[in-house]
Amino acid sequence: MAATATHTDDHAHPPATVPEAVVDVAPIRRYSLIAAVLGLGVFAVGGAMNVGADEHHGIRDFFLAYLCGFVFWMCVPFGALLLSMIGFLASASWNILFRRIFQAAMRTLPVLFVLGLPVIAGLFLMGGDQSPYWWSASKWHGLTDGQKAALDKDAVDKFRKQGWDDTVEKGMVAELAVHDHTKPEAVEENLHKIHDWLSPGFFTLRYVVYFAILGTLAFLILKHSRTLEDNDDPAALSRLRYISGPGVVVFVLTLTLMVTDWVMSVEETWASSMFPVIFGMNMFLTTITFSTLVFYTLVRVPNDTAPPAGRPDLTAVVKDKFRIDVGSLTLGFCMVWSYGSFCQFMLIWAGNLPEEITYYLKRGGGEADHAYKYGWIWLSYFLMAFHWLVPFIVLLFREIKTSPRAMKVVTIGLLTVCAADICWWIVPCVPHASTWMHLPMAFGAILGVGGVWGLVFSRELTRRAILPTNREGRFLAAWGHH
Amino acid sequence: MASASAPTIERPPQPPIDGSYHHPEELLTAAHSTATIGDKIADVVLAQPHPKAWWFFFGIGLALLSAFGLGLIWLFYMGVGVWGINQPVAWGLAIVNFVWWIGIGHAGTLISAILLLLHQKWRTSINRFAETMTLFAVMCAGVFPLIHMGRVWLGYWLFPFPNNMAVWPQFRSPLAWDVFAVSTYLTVSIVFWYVGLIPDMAFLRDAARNKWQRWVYGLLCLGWRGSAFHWRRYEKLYLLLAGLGTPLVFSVHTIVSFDFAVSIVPLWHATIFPPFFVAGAIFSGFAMVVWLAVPLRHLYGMKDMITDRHMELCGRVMIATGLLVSWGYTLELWMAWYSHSKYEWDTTYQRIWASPYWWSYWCLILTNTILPQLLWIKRVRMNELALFLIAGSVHIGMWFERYVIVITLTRDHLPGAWGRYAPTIWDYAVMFGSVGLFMTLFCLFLRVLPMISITEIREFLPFGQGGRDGHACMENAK
Repeated sequence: MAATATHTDDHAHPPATVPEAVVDVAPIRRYSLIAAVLGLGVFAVGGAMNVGADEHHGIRDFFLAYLCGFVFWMCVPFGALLLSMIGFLASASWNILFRRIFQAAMRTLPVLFVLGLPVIAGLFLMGGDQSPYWWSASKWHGLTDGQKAALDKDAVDKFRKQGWDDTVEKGMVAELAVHDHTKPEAVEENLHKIHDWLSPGFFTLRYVVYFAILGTLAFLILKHSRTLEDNDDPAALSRLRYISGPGVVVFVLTLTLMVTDWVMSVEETWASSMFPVIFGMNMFLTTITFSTLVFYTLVRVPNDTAPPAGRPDLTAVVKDKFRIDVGSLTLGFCMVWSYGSFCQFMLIWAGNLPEEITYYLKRGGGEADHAYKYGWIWLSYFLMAFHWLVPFIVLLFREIKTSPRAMKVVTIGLLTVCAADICWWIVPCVPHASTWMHLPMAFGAILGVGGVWGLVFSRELTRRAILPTNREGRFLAAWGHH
Repeated sequence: MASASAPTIERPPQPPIDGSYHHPEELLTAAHSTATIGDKIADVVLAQPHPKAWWFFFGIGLALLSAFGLGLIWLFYMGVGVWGINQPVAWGLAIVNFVWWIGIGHAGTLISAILLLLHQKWRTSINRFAETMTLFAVMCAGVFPLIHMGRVWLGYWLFPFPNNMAVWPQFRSPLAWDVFAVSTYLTVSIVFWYVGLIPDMAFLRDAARNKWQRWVYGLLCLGWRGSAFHWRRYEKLYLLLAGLGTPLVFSVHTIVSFDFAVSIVPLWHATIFPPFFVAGAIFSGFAMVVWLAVPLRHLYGMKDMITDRHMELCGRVMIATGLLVSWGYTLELWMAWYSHSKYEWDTTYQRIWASPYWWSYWCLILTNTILPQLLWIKRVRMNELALFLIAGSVHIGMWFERYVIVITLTRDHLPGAWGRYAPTIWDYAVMFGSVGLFMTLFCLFLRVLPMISITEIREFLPFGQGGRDGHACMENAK
């Protein structure tokens, strides 16, 4: 067992210089390639079996699974952008340690934009009926607004006067209400939602706007951090802080809308103001664990047992203090995710309102018809155990946080858990064919999209030395010496 | 006999031990040594005559406390009918004040525990009086649920104890959870505060000017001699308490938020309430830290220990937490609109525009969201008066935040159930009276205990001068 780290121990380390070596990204390329082939294979084969079992919804499940892949990997570049900005504002050491990884991830935003296009395509292909989003279905878009309004009123009036059976064939609202096993009032709300916000065209426009806003922020951060590194220019650091302050505000507001659009809107009536917080924590956790995994895979740090030759030796730079900080940050994100998730569940469970509780019934409450059948309850238990309890216990120990090997295991586990969480948000929104292929398809999509994205990411990672060699890097190297 | 030369430890040059040390991060601005730090802080308690302004604040505190006493006597004599509460607003100012005080009580433990775990050196100068603020604020908060019960002498029914009347708390109610959350928080905060005081009280014992001081502080410091064993246990205990205090900072206001959010009243039943309440609590807590720090700096000449840098950092925390709170307001509006729930959106419309209380929402936005934006500007953060005024704005804003939530009850689902609410003079007597209770207690604290931690300020000094170069000794306890 490695000696437990303290600040005082670090004083014993000799002063170090920052190595200028560029990392060899061959392992990342190799893993990415394997992930792309394996993931897309599972996605395709599982999807084909699914189509065979359910010809009506088989195509939709492709899009649904793909959405999981896109949402998971969009967390890394966007999370890197937000963490970078917070890091500049807080002068955080982990922001220097992971600077290059964050920058490489941010530079993949154009590729991410392209990777999201299949999600957009699903809204328009086959009349939108095979999209994972309920609101793109053609049944919602068949009538003009005036006709809808008239039908709404008639149908609801008739429903109220004569009861359910007599209105089945009359009026769009009642028809949809019966079809969806819901109340006409809920259908009315849905129609207004679609009219005001959730239409395919407007969704696409917003997709472009989100990327434009956050892409501009990323561009500014990348540009000025390059100046900061090249010239050691304090003015550049000031500019980065001036951008990051308002940038965080803009980012959070944009993320709120993005999360509503891309994830929350897969459910018809569900709206939770806590969800952007939960999403944000999952995004942070994905980014920080991914960065930790990449960093410990590509460089040599203290307590690294038998690392392969050729890795940049950062033993003297990456002191225990920094590794403990990264581990504690991971623990903190896990805890806030758990806090948000528990509060959201408890409040919705206590309120027990039909438009909200359906979300949890589908994911394991027991009353919705497809809950237990597809095992979502077990995924819920899995998340409780591995998104909260196990990391909470494991990451309390400094011995774990300072061991690169242990942290690699922890981060791989947590990345899997974050991916499972995203599947849990998205996939159970609709009933599935009983082929049990929906979850393998989603994980296949996550691996596949990740493989493609990882190839681009690894190329970006080789542009400069893994650690900044300016005074920020020197600060890491000199930390603990007086 | 020639002795073998001892191995030398190479150390960088140390500053001279002559009281000429200046902290590089401006967390200690005057020239200080361990002796001058100890003397300056301890003299306030042991020797220094208190400034006349102390009597002024103490007098105001006592006057308001008298109003508090009068308000309580009348309340107990007549019952809660003397307040403005009725249907549909049955909670009124009592819960507004309860949540407001509990919120203020958050900053102390946050500064002491969470900032310690985050290695923030600047916590050191402000943690003692912030923790004390926490204790008094929680006490002020605790008064309101008790007196709101009407029969305060039955307050012990809040606790689960076996009795032959079969009276038992409703454990499914967050109001019952509040009892445990607040009492746990108060207990841990007292222990944390007291443990931190032990080495300082030993210093006061040793520096005592008379036998009474020596006797009292000697008793309170529990036989502290400053041995290595004592320090080791102290550090370990302090770190453990910091770990224990951290989740409590979150849990208390989370559970307070449940008081509202477990209901299905529109705009109360919001899943964002827990973190939104916690952020608001830290926001208002730091505003109170600023309000206490400013007079301490001037009246007791503590500008060298509670420096401009500390004030600026408090301003930064306020802008960060204020933005989180404003994000909460945005999420409330956004989800009410996005969900297209007619109850949520109509109540929102009533809250911000159509009800007779629309102005209170805009007061809240003005004082809690708009005015604190000035803190983006460093010159404002560095200007003591501006910071003080903005902190005052936050106090008003955070009070209105709870008022706006409570007043929502006047516009429920059914227009037939709508009503009005107006506090009476007795509501205000107890509300402002609780401020008097706080002021009186805080003024008394300044006279008997060190307002700043002597032990931890000494840690700012370099290693060669008996300090720890700014690192808290507790950081490495294991």
